[in-house]
Amino acid sequence: MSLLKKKENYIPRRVIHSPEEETQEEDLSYLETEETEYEPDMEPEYEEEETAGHRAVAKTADPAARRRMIFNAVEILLVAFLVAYVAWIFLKDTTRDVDMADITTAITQQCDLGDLVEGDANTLKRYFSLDGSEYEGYLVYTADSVMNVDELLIVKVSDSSQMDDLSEVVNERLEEQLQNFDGYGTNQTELLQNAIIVERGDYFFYGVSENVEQWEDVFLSCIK
Amino acid sequence: MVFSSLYFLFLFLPVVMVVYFLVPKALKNPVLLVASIFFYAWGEPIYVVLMVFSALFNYVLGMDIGQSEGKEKKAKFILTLVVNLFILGFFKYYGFCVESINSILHVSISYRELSLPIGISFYTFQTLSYIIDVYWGKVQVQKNFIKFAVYITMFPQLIAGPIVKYSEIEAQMDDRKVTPLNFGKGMDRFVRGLAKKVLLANNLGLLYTTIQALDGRSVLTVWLGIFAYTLQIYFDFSGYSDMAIGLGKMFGFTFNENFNYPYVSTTITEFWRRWHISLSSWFRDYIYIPLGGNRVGKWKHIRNILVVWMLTGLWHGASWNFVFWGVYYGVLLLIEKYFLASKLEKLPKGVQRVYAMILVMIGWVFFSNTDFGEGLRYLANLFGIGATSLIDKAGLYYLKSNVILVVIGWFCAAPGLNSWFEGLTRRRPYATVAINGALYLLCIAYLVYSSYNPFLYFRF
Repeated sequence: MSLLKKKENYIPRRVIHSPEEETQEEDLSYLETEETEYEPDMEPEYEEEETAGHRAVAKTADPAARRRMIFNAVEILLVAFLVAYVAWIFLKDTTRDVDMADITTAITQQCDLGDLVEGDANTLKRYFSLDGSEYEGYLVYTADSVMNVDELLIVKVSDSSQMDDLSEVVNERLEEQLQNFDGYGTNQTELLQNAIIVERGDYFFYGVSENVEQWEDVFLSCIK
Repeated sequence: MVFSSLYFLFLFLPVVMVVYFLVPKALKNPVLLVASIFFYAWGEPIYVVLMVFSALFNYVLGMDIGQSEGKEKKAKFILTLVVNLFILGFFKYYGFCVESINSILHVSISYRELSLPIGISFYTFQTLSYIIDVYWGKVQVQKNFIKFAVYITMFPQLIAGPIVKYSEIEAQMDDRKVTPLNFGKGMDRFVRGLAKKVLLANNLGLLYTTIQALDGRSVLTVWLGIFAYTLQIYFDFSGYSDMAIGLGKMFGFTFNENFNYPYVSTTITEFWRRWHISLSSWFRDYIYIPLGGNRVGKWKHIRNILVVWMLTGLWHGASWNFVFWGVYYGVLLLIEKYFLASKLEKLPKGVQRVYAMILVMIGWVFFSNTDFGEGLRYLANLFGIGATSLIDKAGLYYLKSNVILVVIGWFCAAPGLNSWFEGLTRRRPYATVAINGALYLLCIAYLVYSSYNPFLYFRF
């Protein structure tokens, strides 16, 4: 039995009390929208006569059920998208565990470091007020001239909680340098304004140079 | 992109304005949406997806909740709350939670700090206000996605508020007019906000940052520092709110006020009626009142206040100092409510103001120091504990070199100067145009030559 025929069977059961409603009863268009037509006491007959397949079609044809189904499907898709997006955000910056010696080799071989001089623990202390022994490894290059603002710092932290302090210290250094050259060192200020700071996994990168983007690329290719 | 940047002032805003006023009415919302997405994507290309998702998800769920009944409606409402709070919690509090577990349980769960999507706290609270109001039947469901997305992403208030409830702006999504008078008022408000931010907040911020970094500090120095920060955070945030309200006016929107001269308050209760009004009213409407507000027994009322203020603190940042800062205010409000209010009323107004101001400044000590220990040290210095001396040369130097800035700041934070300016606008509008023009040029000059342009409320 078709859904329409089934619904027609219900019409006499909807006892109409007013002339206006009687008019509505004759208008069969309401059949397409009224989910309430299916009263509970009608269900046994319905279930006996309809196969599961027919019932699925019938439910889909019911606008309210269809609306629910569409909303549910869209909501499931949206939640699935959110889960995938969060997973992607979470995993996209995952880094490999690379020894600092390998990063140093890659940087020195593949990057144009100009006149920069490799620094040691004292350099780290002097320029960034950092204690090198607290970190798993580091690489620091600074300029030998006070008018040259180029510098490179890569640190592998022992504990992710060190990142905040590192970031703070480097930003202070950058701020200090900007103040030093503010007003007269146009080129230096521009380089400092284009400084790159990257935090990835356990690695921290800070560079100031015309070639800083190349340095960053080499650094990222090492840890990815 | 921030309002106080040259890109925004000379490229983005003029282009958007021209396009917005050239297109027919039907295209104004789409233009605003595209502009807002571009504005956000400028600094957050990855997280623009999250913002658009948030708009789409809440739009769909809003429609679903609006058409559902009974248990299904409740289930969809809970789903929406869970997803919104998950987004906020994951991106803002994930690192904080793991760090707290590590330090409390002495374990070492490794985690990676995620960068915070700008404005996530603001737009999540806006979506929540819409969803809750739809569930309560207070507002009609917005069936037009463009209009809904404009409400969530609108660039004037996207990244630093004010938090606009959907009910406040519902009618304006369909019908808003830009009159020359309102446009002018919007420009006036924007320039004043820009001046607060660029000329006052940035310079006061420099003073506080310098003092904060000093190793040995006298009592004078630390009081000067925290007073500078007190003014900085007000001009920073209220300046941004002024710019948002002004920009809104220029596009035909009317946003509610977010600040009302908080530093003239005589009590902490009054301070929170005047500070970040949109956030306080959000917590009042959606947390405090549903918990029972003050129409419950004494202990439940105390619980309600403490819950709301702990959440207020946590909203400001994923760090224990913010939780402490929130609870600090909760406790102060309870003390005022149950013990002090009647006694304070008997004191002269000036004394009441000093009382409120000192407590607010102590609050800012914990707000500005994410390291709790450093906050406590700074607080101890304020009362002479651990300070080098009462007054020292450094303190006098900083005072002398910044006294004009601090005095100007204090006058600008009080209502008198603003009342005078509004009176002048009525009497001699051309004079205020000239003043605004001069302020604008000064801001531009400052932005061109200065590299220091932080924004405190970005991290929220």
